[in-house]
Amino acid sequence: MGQFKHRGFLKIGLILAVAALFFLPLGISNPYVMYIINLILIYVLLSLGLDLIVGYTGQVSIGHGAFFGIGAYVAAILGKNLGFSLWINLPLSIAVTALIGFAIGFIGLKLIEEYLVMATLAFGTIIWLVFLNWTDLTGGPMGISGIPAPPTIKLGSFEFPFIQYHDYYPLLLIFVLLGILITRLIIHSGFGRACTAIREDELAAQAMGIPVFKTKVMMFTISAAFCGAAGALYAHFLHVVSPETFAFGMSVTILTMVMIGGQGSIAGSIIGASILTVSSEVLRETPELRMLIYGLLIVIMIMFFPKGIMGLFKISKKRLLQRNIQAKKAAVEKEGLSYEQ
Amino acid sequence: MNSEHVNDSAILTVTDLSRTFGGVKAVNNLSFSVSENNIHAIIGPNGAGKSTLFNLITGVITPNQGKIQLVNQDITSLRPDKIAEQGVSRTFQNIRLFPDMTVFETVLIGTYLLTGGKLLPAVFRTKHFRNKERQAKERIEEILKFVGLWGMRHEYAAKLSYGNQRRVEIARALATNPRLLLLDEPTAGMNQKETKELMQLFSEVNKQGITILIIAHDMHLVNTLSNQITVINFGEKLVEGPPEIIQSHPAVIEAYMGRAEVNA
Amino acid sequence: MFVDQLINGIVLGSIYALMAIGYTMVWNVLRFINFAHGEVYMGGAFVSLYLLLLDTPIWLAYIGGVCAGALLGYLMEKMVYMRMRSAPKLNLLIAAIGISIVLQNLAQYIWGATPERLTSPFLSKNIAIGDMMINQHYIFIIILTIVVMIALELFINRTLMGKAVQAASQNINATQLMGINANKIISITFAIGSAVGALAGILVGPVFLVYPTMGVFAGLKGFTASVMGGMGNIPGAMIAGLLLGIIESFAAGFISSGYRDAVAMVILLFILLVRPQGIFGKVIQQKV
Repeated sequence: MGQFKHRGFLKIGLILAVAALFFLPLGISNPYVMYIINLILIYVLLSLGLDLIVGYTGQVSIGHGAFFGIGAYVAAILGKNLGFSLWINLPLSIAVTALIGFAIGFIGLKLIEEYLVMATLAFGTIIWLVFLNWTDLTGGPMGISGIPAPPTIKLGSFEFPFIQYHDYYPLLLIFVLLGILITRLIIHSGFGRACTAIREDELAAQAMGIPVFKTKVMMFTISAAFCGAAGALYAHFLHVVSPETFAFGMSVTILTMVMIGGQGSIAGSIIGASILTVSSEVLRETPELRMLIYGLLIVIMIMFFPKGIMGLFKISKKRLLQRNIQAKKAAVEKEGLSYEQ
Repeated sequence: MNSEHVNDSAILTVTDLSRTFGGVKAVNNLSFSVSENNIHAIIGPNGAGKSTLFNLITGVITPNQGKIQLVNQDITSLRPDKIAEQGVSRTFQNIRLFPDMTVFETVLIGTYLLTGGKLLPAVFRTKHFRNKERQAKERIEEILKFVGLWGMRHEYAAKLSYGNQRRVEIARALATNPRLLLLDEPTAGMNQKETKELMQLFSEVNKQGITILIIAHDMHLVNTLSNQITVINFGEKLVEGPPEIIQSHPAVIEAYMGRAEVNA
Repeated sequence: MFVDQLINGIVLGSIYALMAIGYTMVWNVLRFINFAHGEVYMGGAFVSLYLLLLDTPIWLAYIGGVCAGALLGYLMEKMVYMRMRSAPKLNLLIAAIGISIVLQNLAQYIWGATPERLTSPFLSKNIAIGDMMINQHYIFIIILTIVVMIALELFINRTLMGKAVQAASQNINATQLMGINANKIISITFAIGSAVGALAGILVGPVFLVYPTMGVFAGLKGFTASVMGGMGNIPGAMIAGLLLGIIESFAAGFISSGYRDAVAMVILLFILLVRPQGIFGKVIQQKV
């Protein structure tokens, strides 16, 4: 009974905290800070997406920057040339990245883990070359600018136009919350559990009736679609896309976020995205130093803290759980009852 | 086709099965059948091809020739997950658990065939989806209580004692709701007490109507537990029959018990 | 024109073949693809370049670069991969990606991003064959590649250590049981594979210049060749490397130069789709 009450409080607390998040811009006057926060939200969506395949399914991709890019370019091209709004471009970006994600997953997930890494790297490179060279469509090295802002939202007599960074924040926040919700729903289902089982032991998973290849390809597709959505939001938020944003470095950055925060953890994705976005703004002047630090962080984290920052929390939680069990055991033994009850 | 192996009550029929590895005949022209509701044991010296046989039956490796039938259905060369779907479940010689999961989570994986892996019902949390989830969790409670691990459901499976790890593996296999359960040396490395308890568990599983095919080294276990024994050596069938006959069969004594370990 | 393309293709192919050997040798003993192999190629070239700046004789600078490459491969194995033997393969892979990023950016930090030309004693000379002129450095690349391949073949089949490496590729644990030090074999494999990779980078330096990200494409193409040849198959990797170079060279004539590097990537995706075990490869079987 007490536990239920406890959970009820937690739930109310969580709802209040989320509601409070929407009022965050009221306390921020500096537009640059607001810009950074918006950027973090987009990166959270990206890390959530990559974590689905890396953290929850155990398959490494270093081509997710390309899915981000495809989502952004689809929105940019349609928005600029055909005047489509975010509301049309977003589902189209998701559809296109999901389709391409399916194809790349199908190719890369067939045989051994490393093939996916190389397939995604090759794919990312091809996409980047296309962004750079198909000047008629992508604007070449200059990219595309003048992507329209989302149309003003009207609710009765209230109007929400998209002019400053402050206006974008609630929109991005809603999508991030949606992303978190979908992630949770997916991982707490037969499908999500199948992915985790594949990560832990492919052969044992298959012996339990899990169609390994199909499950992996499905998760890869979803993961790509998350990045596609982030791309469309990015294009309409910044109004500019250019190829160097979506080069190999972006794929590495997203992977680093997942590694730092902790694979297979929603909170980890949020922490990783926040830390890296802020630190990359701080290190803006020295990009090669930034990448050097990312690389070192990846190596150090994977060698010594493979579960990232959230892993440290989990260990202590595990200890707590263990201690609880020990205590219960002792109590039960005292009463002369069997522990097996 | 080998006509002497027509067995009307057979749940599993293996016919002329062969598999070579780089010239070595791991399984050679092997035919046998497992009757419904039996506890059928496969024995033979190390390297006789027993585990290869299991991997062939469960689809982990494909045969060079021969046929594997489950009741009337041909399951030769099907993918392992398809074979599991047909009601064949297994444990592994070296226990294969999911390192980062608790006992409950591990066994929950076994309910995949019940809940399915559909995406949209999961995202929209349909009534059907919630019902299946509830059923899965109830089923696990039942299984964990049955194998005696309910009290340890929140512990990490890989941290348990060897005997209990094996129980988790069996519980996970039971969660798939199998007709045929394959156990690959389930008591290897166990002490006498654990072995005895596991044997007890196996016969209870069998009483629930699940046919068991078991690889074992422990002759005592084989003799008391099983009602049919197939002896293989060098990938070929040596003899087959109920324990009383196998125990005293000269060919078995010579080829197997004569030099291999006799734990009875 | 045709012969020109063919020779270009063979030169490129020699480089890819040398790179592919590194991937395939390491795969053989560890069942792992050393993602940072492209950075060994870059590292070797940079060390040669640096030695030349110090007025080292060219031959010594080249040898120095090869040794530095071997050392780099040896060190990444000892410092990172060896400490992760019991970790999941996924972690090893991520570590390798990390190392590759570190080395690329370290090189950029030390030497800058501007491409520089490595000196070659032959670059300015041509050889006339019939009525066409071939750059002597190209001939040098082809000859050296052939020499390295013969030497490797002899090492693996004729020396005790080579046989141990071969045995290790069958079963590293059994090798250990037979009293051969598995870690030593892995170290040697890394050193040799990396030396060959570094040599490729040095040979390319006078033609395609030296810069921090030069190893990215070379690595990917070497990997493509090793997949084409069948992972773990050394002669297969050599042949596939040559083949890839020739295909790329001819294909590049038909498309705009901006897409040149995409050719090998498309081939890689195609191979992974239709024949992931490679042209000469066996089906990879999971161990139970």
